[in-house]
Amino acid sequence: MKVAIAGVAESDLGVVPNKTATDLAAQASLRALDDAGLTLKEVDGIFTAGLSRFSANQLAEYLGVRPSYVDSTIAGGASFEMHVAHAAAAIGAGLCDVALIAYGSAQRSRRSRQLAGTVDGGTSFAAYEAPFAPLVPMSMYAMVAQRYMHEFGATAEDLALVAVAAREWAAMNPKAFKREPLTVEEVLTSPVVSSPLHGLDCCLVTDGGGAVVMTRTKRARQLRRKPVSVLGHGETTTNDSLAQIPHLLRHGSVESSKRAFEMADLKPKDVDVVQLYDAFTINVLVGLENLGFCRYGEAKDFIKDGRIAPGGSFPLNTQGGGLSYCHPGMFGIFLLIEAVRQLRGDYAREEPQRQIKGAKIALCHGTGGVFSSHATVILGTR
Amino acid sequence: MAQRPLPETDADARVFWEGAAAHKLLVQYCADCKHFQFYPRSFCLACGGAHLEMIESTGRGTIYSFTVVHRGPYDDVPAPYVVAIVTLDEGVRMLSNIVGCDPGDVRCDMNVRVTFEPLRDGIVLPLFTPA
Repeated sequence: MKVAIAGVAESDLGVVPNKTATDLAAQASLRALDDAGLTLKEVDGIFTAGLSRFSANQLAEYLGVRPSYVDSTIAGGASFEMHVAHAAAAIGAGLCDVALIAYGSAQRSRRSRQLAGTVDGGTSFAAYEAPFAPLVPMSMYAMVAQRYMHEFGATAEDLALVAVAAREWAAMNPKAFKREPLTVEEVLTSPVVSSPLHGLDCCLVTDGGGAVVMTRTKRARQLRRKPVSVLGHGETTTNDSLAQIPHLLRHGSVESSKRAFEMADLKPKDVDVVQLYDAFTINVLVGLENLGFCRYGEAKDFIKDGRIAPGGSFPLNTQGGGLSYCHPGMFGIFLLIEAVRQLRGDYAREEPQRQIKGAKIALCHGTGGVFSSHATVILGTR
Repeated sequence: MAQRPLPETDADARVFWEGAAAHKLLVQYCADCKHFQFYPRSFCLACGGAHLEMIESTGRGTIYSFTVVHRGPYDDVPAPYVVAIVTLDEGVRMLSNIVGCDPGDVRCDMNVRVTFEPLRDGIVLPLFTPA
């Protein structure tokens, strides 16, 4: 069965004091339903994660919905791309018809993020890794960056270019948290936190939420906005703790994207706009390679000459990404929101400089944990 | 500020940490198919068998990758310190710290050997130092 995204929205973003994660998820949900031209009465599927231990219960109760289907799959930043896939399956199986995918986090205002992360009991991390004091997740991404630089001769400047391009996109986005110009030099002189990553190689810590409404394409065509079709999806999970990743540079994104491209009957060269979770600058380089947009070791050259920046031939993270737009903990929902807006041409009239002209195919790739979980979603106008 | 966390030492981890306390780095070995695995589990990932033993590693390996932490969250591990993924000669990988050298001298693929340092409460950490 063909399914589509009928509406998208963010909650208030940035510093949003006196709101809970659920407040923000609910605000985004109501806005996304309004975008779609639907109401809470029509929602019968809830997909959410990270609000609390029982996230779906929490959101259903707050919204006053009695869903016939819920999914609280939590896989870090990849969760919401997985939710799209799971919602497509549930809608296809007739288990729900209007799926609300929502997220919110008050991590900035509540100061809930710790450098060392949290240790969940009963995990391999708790038994074999926590005493060695890695920063979680930062040290893992740092070790991927270190190996990447070692194998391919990439430099800190190459990584910094990713942060600079993100800032250039954010400069055009009124909702972005960081909009002032950023130079490679400023990234390189920001303090190293976990080498080789500097402070400005890391995503933001903000509050915020987002929501996506999915339904059958046939039904979506009767609604307020132009539907954006879910053409393909794939997911892979490889590890949980840091040292158990099968390969530091060849990730589960190889399989997740292969499945998504096969389902969509498309190839990487067919993609017009890419939303790739940039928790750290290194994610973009290894992501481009594992998703098949360039070969291993080539991403550092692929991104040169402004290719991923505004005006470049490979528009990436066109709202400013987790590096400069917002990052309320699990960014995956925001990849979907921006891809839908680009495919609908939402910016064409008011902010034409941000609009990727003629964009028909978008790829969203979420990464969770320490490159542990991967989920790819391919969206299109067809 | 907090101290670095103690490992959970129940279940399959108990034998590993008892080994470390006796200055032995133990890895799990499948008597049926000769596969090594880290961390210890109830079955062999290669053949599914259950004839598993904890045997002493050579304690030698190479650094798969590492990071120098400059902003440490624990006051009993002063920054800068090195966190690394070490590939042991048996082919398995584990997380540890690199000690006994300047953090600036650590490189990927560098040869290392195990060394043991007491933490607290009877826990001894298997750490690595340039070989």
